[in-house]
Amino acid sequence: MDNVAGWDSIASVQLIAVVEEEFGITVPADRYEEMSSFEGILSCVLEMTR
Amino acid sequence: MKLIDALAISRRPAAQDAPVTRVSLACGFTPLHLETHLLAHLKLRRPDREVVLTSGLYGDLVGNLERLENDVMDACIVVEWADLDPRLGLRSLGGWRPSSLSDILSTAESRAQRFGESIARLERSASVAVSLPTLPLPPIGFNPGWCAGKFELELRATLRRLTERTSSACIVSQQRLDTTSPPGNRLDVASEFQTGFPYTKEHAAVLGELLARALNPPQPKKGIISDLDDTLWKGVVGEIGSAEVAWDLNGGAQIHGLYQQLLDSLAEAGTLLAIASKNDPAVVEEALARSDLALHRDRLFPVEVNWKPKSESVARILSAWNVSADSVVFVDDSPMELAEVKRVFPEITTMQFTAQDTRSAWTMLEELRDLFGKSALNAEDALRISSLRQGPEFMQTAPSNPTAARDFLTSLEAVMTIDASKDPPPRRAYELVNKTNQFNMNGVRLSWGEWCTFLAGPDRFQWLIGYRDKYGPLGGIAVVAGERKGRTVQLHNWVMSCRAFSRDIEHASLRRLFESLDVDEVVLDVAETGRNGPFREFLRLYAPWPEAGPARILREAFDARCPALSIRAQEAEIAGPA
Repeated sequence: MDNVAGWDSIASVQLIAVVEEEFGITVPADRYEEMSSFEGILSCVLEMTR
Repeated sequence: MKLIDALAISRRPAAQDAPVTRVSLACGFTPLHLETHLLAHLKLRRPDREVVLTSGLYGDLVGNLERLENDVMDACIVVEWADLDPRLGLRSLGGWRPSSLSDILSTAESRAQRFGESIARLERSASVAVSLPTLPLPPIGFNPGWCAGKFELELRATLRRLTERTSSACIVSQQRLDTTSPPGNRLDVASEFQTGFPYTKEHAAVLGELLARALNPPQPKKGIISDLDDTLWKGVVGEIGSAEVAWDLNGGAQIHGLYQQLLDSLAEAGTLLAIASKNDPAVVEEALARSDLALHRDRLFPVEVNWKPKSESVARILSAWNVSADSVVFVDDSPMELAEVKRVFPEITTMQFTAQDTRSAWTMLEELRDLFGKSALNAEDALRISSLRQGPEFMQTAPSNPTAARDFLTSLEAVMTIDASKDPPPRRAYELVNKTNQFNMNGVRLSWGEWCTFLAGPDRFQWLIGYRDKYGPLGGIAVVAGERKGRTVQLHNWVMSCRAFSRDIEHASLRRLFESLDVDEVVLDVAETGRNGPFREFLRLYAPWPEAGPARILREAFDARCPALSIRAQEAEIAGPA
């Protein structure tokens, strides 16, 4: 996310919320840091939907 | 709506050169997904506008409201318990001791009063939607949660301070919210801790949609055409007789009585009611004359009872009302009759009355209320039916010979009044601008905030034109709004109710513009809407319809072509721009 112009904490929260809604999961707060890259999000979603 | 869809819609660019509508979301928390959903729904409801949504500072609803009062067209105000006292929220550790409760109540009372005063000031010049606290109270006080203690009851009573001074703000219905967003599924504790946004995504979606609808309500429909047998009453009157049709508990037909009761209520609020029934007229009149009818017989006009296809009855009713099919709901128990009418009038809304399925029938009553509900009643609502009844008498009396027709108009003893108030402008003028179709210069629709913002300019004006003659008053029936520019007046809006046709009111209005504003030219921002044929027909007398840009009426052309007018204008009530 550091490479995306204009990205901020609100955008991160929105992205996590969209992922939660789309995959029917609740991402715990202690995993938010992982959700800062495509690979991190993919890994988290795969684990939580397994 | 899902968040991903709301995000996509909220980022859609507006059409080039679309007018800007500024909307503020005032709340005390991080607006986050509520802002996203609200913006998406606002964009869907105002596709002709560039909607710019702004929000204020975190934790400062008082300041956010006060900052709004200067420069905003539309405002959504979302109040939660923590705005009344931070101790009622989850991010404060100010104490929930029983000994603190009276102090919390006192703070809540005074803040609610302050919010209410801000809202009352704001609504004078802006469209305002308000959401009262939607979240559960925290486990504060000493009563168990299943018992509403004195503290909770008094706290809820403070909410009256928020609304007691408001007149036009739309307060989001708690009942509707409870139906669509279950109270137990609204608070997201984790989100409140992490981001300061207290709502679940689902609740944010529902509240965003309701706020957008409160700011941009659909125009109420104008009339209901109802069937009789197994709709207005239970039974087939031609088979069992007028004494045996039923609409009460004893007859196992209470849902029909409630339907009558709703129709009666809507009619008193200005909705037109008519009957389209395949029946014997004499038998129907006997039934409609029953004294226990829950619907006043005089509300029904016209009553079309015959054996022809119902679409023919509907056509005659639409003609008598002079309204288009898309403003009307047709209610019948028969899917075949609904389909036959829908085939001829695809724009009409049809509803099936299913008395055997009372839950479905009840839902239909609620839907009818939504389609015809309005924010306030005005004098014209009571006049509508009587002036429609006078319409045929007027048209029959009016001679077709031009000379005799002039004499007839002179005999009307017509008086035109003009209400030019601007601060605030009359609500009736705003209502007419947004609902009139046929005599409408350009079909432009405005929010209350846009209307007030337009009129704020020193040379801008609105005239709400009223009319009465020996047949009775028609009330406020036309609006002219524009801006004076030297020897020219530019009209942005000109609408007139179809009830006022054939009385020369449009010519008299134009004459007043030339004379009282003392201008040489009237420039009209016209646009063809597909439905404003009567306006285009009127304009043709004075000026050609332009291929592009505005139409222009020169004073010489007006003086040369205007018919002899006999409408007397009440000079004392005329007040234009300086």
